[in-house]
Amino acid sequence: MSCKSDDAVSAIVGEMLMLTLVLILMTVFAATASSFLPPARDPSVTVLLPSGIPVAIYHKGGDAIPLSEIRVMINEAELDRYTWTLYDIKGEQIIARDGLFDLGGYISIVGGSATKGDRIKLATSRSVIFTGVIP
Amino acid sequence: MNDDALSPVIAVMMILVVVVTLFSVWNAIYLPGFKQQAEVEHLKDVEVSFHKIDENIRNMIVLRRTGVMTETIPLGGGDILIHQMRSGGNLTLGPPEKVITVSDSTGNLVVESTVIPITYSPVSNFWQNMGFEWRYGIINVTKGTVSSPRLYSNYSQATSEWFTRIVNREGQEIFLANIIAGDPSSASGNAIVQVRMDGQWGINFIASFDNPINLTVDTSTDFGKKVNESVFSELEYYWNPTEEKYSIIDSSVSLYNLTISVR
Repeated sequence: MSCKSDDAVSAIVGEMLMLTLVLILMTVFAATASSFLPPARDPSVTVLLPSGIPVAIYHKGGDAIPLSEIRVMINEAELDRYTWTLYDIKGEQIIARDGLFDLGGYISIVGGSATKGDRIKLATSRSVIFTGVIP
Repeated sequence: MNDDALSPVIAVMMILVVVVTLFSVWNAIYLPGFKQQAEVEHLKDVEVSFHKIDENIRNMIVLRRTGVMTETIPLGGGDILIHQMRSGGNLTLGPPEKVITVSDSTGNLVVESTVIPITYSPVSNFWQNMGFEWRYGIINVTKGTVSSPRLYSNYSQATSEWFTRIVNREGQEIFLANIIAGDPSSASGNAIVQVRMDGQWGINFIASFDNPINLTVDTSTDFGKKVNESVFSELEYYWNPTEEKYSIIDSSVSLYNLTISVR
């Protein structure tokens, strides 16, 4: 009768299990890593805020911001979505959520929601693009 | 079988994977981000240069200064410490747009007064295809075919601020500005270029009753119409409504040439 030694079986199985575990963890980490990474840079937009009623914020160059990302704040309180409207350079209203606040476009704020001397902020969900005082 | 070396090899491989992953993330996300940020700074420098060019042109024409003023524009940018590659740019002057025609009593063309645009357009930009244009005394921001005046809400508001004081009258002297492109009139690359503004007195006419000098403003463009309003406020006395031109009969007409070139 022959006798085989199986001393190494547990060690190899253990090593393989560890390897599998590590590979699974790495895969999960790799799949979700992008959401943990901080953004490379914040959007850079040149903004013009002229005097006059209604208050309007003009895009004068830089990154285009999707409508769904835009937040308008007056005196640190976010305005309701229906109190401001986004227009493109031709003066046509942008309604689609993926429509862009781009060069020549402007955000018009309904009269009464913002008045002279108010502190105004334009922001996205992750950064403030512009802060100013309504002239 | 001796498997003593197995764990260190796997460990080193894992570390290698982590290093390669981090390098990939750097190359895919952060490096373009840094390049874009550097390009944002570069385009700010270009914009500042355009504002200075505008100031210089206005000063030279209003004060009728002879001599040379220069301003530099970095055509390329976007270089960072660990990635020195730069984008390029193209600066062009012109084409000239005729505004006023000066003719003598026989109706022959003597000289034309023109204006030229100055245009910067980026090439292989790391951020956005954003350029600048100086035209009629205002600065426009361009992105592809879209253009918007930098300092004004919209185009109609900017037209009221066009630089239209091309003709100035001081007593019996009339001065006519002429903005022309010198040689060379364009530059391309990623280096710094110099915009050279050379103001010199041009031809001088002495008008008389027997030999009037006629100024005809080209009103076929919006800019021409605005210039005509400005000229009319200066030379209303000489307006000849039947021939729709200004007939100068008792003054001198001096041309001030502002030649713009790039080096």
